[in-house]
Amino acid sequence: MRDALRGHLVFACGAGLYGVPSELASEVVNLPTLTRVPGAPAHVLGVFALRGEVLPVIDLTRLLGSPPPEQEWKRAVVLRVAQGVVALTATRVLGVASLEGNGGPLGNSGVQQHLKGPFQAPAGDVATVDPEGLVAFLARGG
Amino acid sequence: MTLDGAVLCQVGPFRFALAAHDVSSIEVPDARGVYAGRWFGLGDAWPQTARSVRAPGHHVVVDTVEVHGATLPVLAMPAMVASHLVTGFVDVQGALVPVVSLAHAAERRP
Repeated sequence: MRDALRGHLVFACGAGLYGVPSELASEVVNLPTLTRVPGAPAHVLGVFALRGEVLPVIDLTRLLGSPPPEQEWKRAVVLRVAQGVVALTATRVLGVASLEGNGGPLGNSGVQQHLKGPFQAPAGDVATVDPEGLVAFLARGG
Repeated sequence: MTLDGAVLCQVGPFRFALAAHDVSSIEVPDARGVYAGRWFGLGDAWPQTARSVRAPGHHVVVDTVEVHGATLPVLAMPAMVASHLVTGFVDVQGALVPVVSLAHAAERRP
């Protein structure tokens, strides 16, 4: 039997499509010039200030070991969870969709354990991101 | 939390701030210096005009320094960014600048 996941914000990041629960995606932002963070892992592109709060920008392609896009990152999806706020790079934001399927974890370790898939959306196969798990993973150093 | 005076350091196109009360002197670097450009992936070679910023027990070499006398509010470091160097950020003329702890930097050489 196929399950349906309701209300996921679907966005493209490099060659992949990703979904996050729409209630945790607080906004989509155009990225300003970022401040580099010395000593941070490579997947932390930098930080920017949003209404007095410092947000880290995470390059999902680097985190996942996928090829990055040729253009500079221009947009990001802001996720707000109990542990903090993080912005995930996006090449395109496709909107909110219900996802179909029975996707399982993409891996047993690393960041892959916080992604599930594949789920089907009108735009194609989507991997969902567990925001709490991802933020906890990043807080441990990624 | 505030930073009561800062030494703004430039390495290549990047800037970082040190708490002024942590800095004991600014000198011409010697050969044993550690270039802060390494923290930003700029390599180890510093320009001839570089300066060594010293704190008790620690020092780091930067391209230029600028002393900033104002009190600046410190914005918190996001919990999910694991950096062993940065303790927070200050807003300097509309740009976020990371605040670096030389003591933390010394524990893990750049």
